[in-house]
Amino acid sequence: MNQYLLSLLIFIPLLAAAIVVLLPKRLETLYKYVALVASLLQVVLGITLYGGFQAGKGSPVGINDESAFQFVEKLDWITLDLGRLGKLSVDYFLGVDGVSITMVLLSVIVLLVGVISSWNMTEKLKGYFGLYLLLNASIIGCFVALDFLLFYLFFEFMLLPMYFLIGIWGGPRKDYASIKFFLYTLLGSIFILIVMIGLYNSTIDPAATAVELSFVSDVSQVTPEIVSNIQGMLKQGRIAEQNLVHTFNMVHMTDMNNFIPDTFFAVIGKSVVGGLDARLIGFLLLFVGFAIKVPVVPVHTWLPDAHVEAPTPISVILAGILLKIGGYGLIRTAYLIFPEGGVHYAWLVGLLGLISIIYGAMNALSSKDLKKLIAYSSVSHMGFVLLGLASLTSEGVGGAIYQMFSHGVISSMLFLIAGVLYDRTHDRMIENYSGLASKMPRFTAVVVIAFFASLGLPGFSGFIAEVLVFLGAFSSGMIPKWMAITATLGLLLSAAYYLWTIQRMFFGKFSVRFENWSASLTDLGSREYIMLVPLIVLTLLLGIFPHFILDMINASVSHLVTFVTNTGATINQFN
Amino acid sequence: MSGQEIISSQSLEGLPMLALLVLMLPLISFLTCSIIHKKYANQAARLSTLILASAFIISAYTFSQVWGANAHHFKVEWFSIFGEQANRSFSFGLLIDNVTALMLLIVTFIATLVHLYSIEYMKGDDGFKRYFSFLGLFTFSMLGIVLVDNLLLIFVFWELVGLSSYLLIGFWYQKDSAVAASKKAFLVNRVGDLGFLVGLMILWWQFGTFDLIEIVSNLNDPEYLNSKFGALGVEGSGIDKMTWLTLAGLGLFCGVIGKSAQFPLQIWLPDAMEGPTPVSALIHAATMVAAGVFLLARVFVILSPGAMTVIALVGSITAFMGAIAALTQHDIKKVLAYSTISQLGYMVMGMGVGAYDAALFHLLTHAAFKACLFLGAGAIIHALHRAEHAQNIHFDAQDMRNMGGLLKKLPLTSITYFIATASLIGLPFFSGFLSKDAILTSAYANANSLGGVSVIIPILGLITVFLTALYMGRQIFLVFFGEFRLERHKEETSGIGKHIKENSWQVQLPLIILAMLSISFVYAWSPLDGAEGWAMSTLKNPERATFWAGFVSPVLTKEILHEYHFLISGVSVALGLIGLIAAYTVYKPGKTFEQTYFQAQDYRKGLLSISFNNWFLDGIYHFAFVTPILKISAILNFVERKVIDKAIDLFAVGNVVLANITGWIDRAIVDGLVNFAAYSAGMVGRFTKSIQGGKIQTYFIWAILGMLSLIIWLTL
Repeated sequence: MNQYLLSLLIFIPLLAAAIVVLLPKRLETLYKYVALVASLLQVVLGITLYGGFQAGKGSPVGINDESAFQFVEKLDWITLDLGRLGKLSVDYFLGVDGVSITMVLLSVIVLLVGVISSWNMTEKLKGYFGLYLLLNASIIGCFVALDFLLFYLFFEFMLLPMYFLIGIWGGPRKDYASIKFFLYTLLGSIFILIVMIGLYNSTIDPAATAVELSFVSDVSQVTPEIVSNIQGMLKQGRIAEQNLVHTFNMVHMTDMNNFIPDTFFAVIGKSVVGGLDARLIGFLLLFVGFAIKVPVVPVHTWLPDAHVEAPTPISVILAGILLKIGGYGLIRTAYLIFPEGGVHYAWLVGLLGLISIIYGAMNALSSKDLKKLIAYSSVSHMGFVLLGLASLTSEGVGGAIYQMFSHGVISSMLFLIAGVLYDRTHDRMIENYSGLASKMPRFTAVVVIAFFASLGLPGFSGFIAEVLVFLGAFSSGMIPKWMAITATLGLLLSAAYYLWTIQRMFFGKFSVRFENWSASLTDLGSREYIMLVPLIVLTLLLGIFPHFILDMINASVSHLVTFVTNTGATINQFN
Repeated sequence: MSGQEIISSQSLEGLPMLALLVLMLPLISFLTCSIIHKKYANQAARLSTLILASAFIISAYTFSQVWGANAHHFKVEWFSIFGEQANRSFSFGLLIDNVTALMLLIVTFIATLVHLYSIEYMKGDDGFKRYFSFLGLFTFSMLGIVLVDNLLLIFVFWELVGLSSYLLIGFWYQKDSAVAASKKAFLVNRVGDLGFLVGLMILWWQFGTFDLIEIVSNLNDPEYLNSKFGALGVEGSGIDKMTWLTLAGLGLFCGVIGKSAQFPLQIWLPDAMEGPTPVSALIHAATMVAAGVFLLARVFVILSPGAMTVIALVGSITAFMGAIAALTQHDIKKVLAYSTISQLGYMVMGMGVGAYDAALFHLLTHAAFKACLFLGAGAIIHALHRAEHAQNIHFDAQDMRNMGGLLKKLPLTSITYFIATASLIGLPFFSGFLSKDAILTSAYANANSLGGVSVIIPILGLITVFLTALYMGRQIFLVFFGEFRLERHKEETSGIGKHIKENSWQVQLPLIILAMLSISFVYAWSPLDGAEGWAMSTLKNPERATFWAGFVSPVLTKEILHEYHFLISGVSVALGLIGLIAAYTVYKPGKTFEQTYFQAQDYRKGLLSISFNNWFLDGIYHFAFVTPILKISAILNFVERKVIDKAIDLFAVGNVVLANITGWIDRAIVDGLVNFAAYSAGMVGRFTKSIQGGKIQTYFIWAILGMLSLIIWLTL
C-alpha cells in the first residue's frame, strides 16, 4: 500500500465527494459521516506516512534530489509532441520530503477537526460537504505534487471550493469577502503562472532528453553519467531544439544545469528585463504570488475579511492550512528554483517578515472583533515564517517550518474558540462580553491555554518555533541583527492583545450586551471538547518534545539551507 | 560553577534522580488538583501540602549531600538541529550545586509552609481547588528554574513562573483591579524577557550552546577565545567580542530587572499584592522575585565588568527608590511590597559589586523574614476579615489606618512580626543584619577599589538602611501600638475588637517557624559577622572566567572585607536605630498623633506624593509607552481600512468599470461584425460577464486554455 499512499490521500476525499454528490438529498444527514470517515481514513494514512517516513541523521533529504524523495509516485500524465517545439511532458509526480510531510500531517489533522466543526451545519449540505472534500483533496495534492503543473492545478483547485464555501456559507459580508479573497489569490496565481510557463520553457528533463536522443531506450536506464553528459551538451548548445524534452518537474528545475542557455530563466546567458536579472524577477513574482497566501503585509488585506466572514470550519482551514501553502510554496518553488533570489533578497524577505510581525500585532491590538483579532494575530505569527526563511540558517528555516505546523494547530484552536462564542450568540464583538469566566469556566480555561500557546509560552509548540526563528535570524549573516531584535517586540505585543482580550471578555463581573444571551452561553459541549482537547494535547506535545517534528525535517532543512546558500552564491557569481 | 567539583552523568540515578523527583512532585500536585472533582477540594489541598512536604524532605536530603561537597550534573539531549549545515544540540540537564541545593531548600520549605497556611487562609473560597493547583504549577516552575543546567531551560521555566504568577495575582478574577494587576505583571515581565531573549540570541550566536558549563569552559579556554570566539565576535558586526559579552550580560539582566522588580520595571510588584496574601509571601517576596538574583548567580562568571557596574547601580537605585515609596503607603501589604523591591535591590547590588556569597545569603535570610512578614500581614488581614464577617460589615482590612493596638489582640502574630521586622531593619542578633552588612561592606570595598560612579552604590545602600527602619517603624507603630482605630473612629465598627482573635495553628505554625529562622544564630555563631557562618563560608565567590583576567575587577578578599566590616556595620546599625527613633517621634501613639496624623494625611499632594505614587513611574510609562502604542495601533488600523483596503477596493471598482466598458464595446462589435470575429468577441464578452456574474466555474477552464495558448505563444 505504501507506494500508493499519497494517491490514496488525494483520492479518498475525491471518492467521498463523489459519494456525497451521488447520495440522494433525503440522506443528507449521512454526508457528514462520509466526510468524517474520509478524514479519519486520511488521518490513519497520515500516521502510516509518519511511521514509514525515514527520518533522522543520514536519511534521504529530498529537496533537490529526485531519488531522495519518499513515497514517490511518478506516471507519465501528458506527453505531447509539439514537433519543432520539442516535447511537452507533464508527470503525475508525487513525493514527500521533510518539508512537505509536516504539511501533509498538519493538513489531515486540521481537515478532520474541520469536519467535526462542521457537524451542526444545516444549509445546503450536499454542496458544503462536496466542496469541502474537494478542497481537502486539492490541499493534500498541493503539498505532495512535485510537478509544477500538477502543483499549480491543485493550487488553483483550492480556490474554487474556498470561494463558494465563504461566499455561500459565510457571514453578513460574505460577498465582499469571497470576491476579495478570490481576486487577491487570483492575482497571485497569475504571477505564479507566468513564472511556471517561463520555467517550463527554460528547463529540460535530462533523462527524458537522453531517451529522446536515443542514448538509452528507457528512462529507467539513465545513469548519473548520462545525465551530466546531457547537461554538458545542453550547456554547449549541442542538442537540437526538437529533441529537448521540456518539463514541469520541480526537482529538475532546482538543478541549474537543466536550464537551457539563453532562455528566459537561463542561468547561462541570462535575460535582463528592465535592468533586472530575469531570474531575480522570477523569484520576486513567485514571492509575491505566495506572499499573498501567507499573507505578508501589505498584500494581506483579504485575510481579515475572509477569516471573519468564513464559517468556523472554513476559517480553521484557511488559517490552519491554506496560509501554510504560501510558506510551503515559497520554499518549494521560489527558494529552490531561484536560490540566488533567496540570497539576494534575504534582506527584503526578512524586513517584510518583521513588518508583518509588528503590523499584524498592532492591528490585532486595536481590533474590536474577536475573530478579526485572531486573524491579525495570524498575520503577525506568519511573519516569523518569513523571518526564519530569510535567515537561511538551519535554525531559522527549521523554525519557520515548525512555526507553520505550530500555527496551524494553534490558530485552528483560536478560530474554534471564536466559533464557540459565535454559535451561542452570533456576535463576536469583544466589548459585548465581560466576565465570561463565571459563566463558562471550562471554556475560559481552554481560551487561556490557547491564548498563552499563541503568545509563545514555553511548553507550547509556538515557543520552540519562535525561539528557533530568533536564534536563526540573529546568527544569520544574511540579515542584520536589528531585525531579530526588533521582532521580539512581536512577543510583547501578542501578550498585550491576548491578555487584554482575556481581561475584557472573560474576567471581571459577568455581563453581556443583551440579556437573552446569558441563557445561551453554556459551557463547552462534548463535540467541542473533541475538537479542542486533541489540539491542546498536540501543541503541548510539540512544545515539550520538539524532536517529533524536528527529526523529520532536520536533514531536509539542513540540505535546503546548504543548497540555497551555495547554489545561490554560485549563480550570483555568474553575474 | 561555584567552585565545586562537578560529577557529570548521562544516566538518571542518584541525586539527579531525586532532584527530578522534587521537580515532578509539585507538577503532580498541580495535575491532581486540576482534575480532581470539586467536592474533594479539601482533601486535594491537604494532599498537595503533603506532596510539598515530601518534596521538602527530599530537598533537605539533597542539600545534605551536595552542600559543600560535590555538585552533580545530569544532561541528555532534548532535541537537536542536525544535518550537513549545522549540528547543534539543545540539551535538558539538571545541575545541582550549592546554590541549587540552597534554593531547593528555600523554595520547597516556604512552599510547604504557604500550602499549610493557605488551607486556613483560603478556606471557603470558591476557587479553593484552583488555588492549590496554581500553587503547584508555580512551585514546579520555580524549582525548574533552580534545577536546570542551561539558559534556554531557565528561560522556559522563567516564563512559566510568569504564567503562574499571572494566574495567582488574578486569582480573584471577578475583581477588576486584580485582573489589571495580573496583566500588568505579565506584560512588564515580558518587557524584561525580551532583553533576556536577546541575551540568549547573542550567546547562541557566539557559543552555539546554552549550556552554562560549556560556555564557561569556553571562556576559560585560551585556544577557543583566540580562534572561534574571537572570529565570531568581530565578524561583520563592527563590535568587539568584549562588548558583545557585555551586551549579552545586560540582556540577561533585563530579564532580572523584570522578574526581580528592579528599576525601571519595578511597577508591577506593588500591584501584584492584589493576589491572595500567602501568594504574595511565596511568590512575590520569598521565591519568584528572587529568581533574578539566582539567575545572576548562575551567570555570575560570564558577566563583564561593565555589566557588573550597571547591575550594581540599578540595584542600589532600586533599593533606594523602593524604600522611599514604602514610606507613605496605607496598605499594609503595599509597604511590604515596596520593601521587597528595596531588598531585592540590595541583592542585585550585591551581585553587581561582586559579593556573590553575600547576595545569596541575603536571598536566604530575606526569604525567611519577608515570608514571615507577609504571612503575618495575612494573619492580621484574615483576623480582620473574620471580624468583618462576624459583624457583617465591610471595611478595608488591609488599610493600616484601620488598625492600631493589635499587639494586645494578636500577641503571637505581633511578636513574630517584630522579630522579622528587626531582621529586615538589620538589627544585631537578627539574620538580616548579617547578610545586609555583608553586602554593604562589599559595596564599600568595591567603591574603594573602583572609585568613580561606584561610590554612589554604598551611599544609596546606607541611606536605604535608615529609610528601612523608618518605614518599618512607622508600620509597627501604626499597626500594633496605640488604639484600635477602627473601633474608635467609626460608628458601625464599634465593638468589632472583640471579634478579633488569633488564627488557627495552620496560620500560626508557619509564623513561629519563620520568625525563628529570622534570628542570626541559625546562620552563624557570631551575631555580628556572617562571613564565618555556614551559608557564606560555603557559598564562596566563584572564580571569574579567565576571559576577564586583565580587566579591572575589584578584589573582595576576606582581609579587606574584614577590615571594613566593623566600620560599615557600626554605621548601618546606627542608621537603623536613628530611623526607628525618627519613626517613633513621628508615629508615636497618643492623642496628638491621632489628630495631626490622620487629619492632615494627604499624600496625593506635595513632596510626599513622589513616595506615595512610587515616583510617578506608572503615569510616566502610561504617557510614554501605553498611550502611544495604543494610538499607533489605532492609526495603523485606520491605515489598514481606509488606505490599503480603500485602494484595493477602488482598484476592483476600476476593473469592474473597465470590464463594463469592454463588455459594451464587445456587444457593439458583436452587432457589427460577422462570424469568427463575432464569435470570438462573444467569447470574451461572456468571459468578462461570467466574472461579474459570479460564474467562476468557467474560470478554471479558461485558466487552462489560457495557459496552453501562452505556452504555444512563448515557445514559438
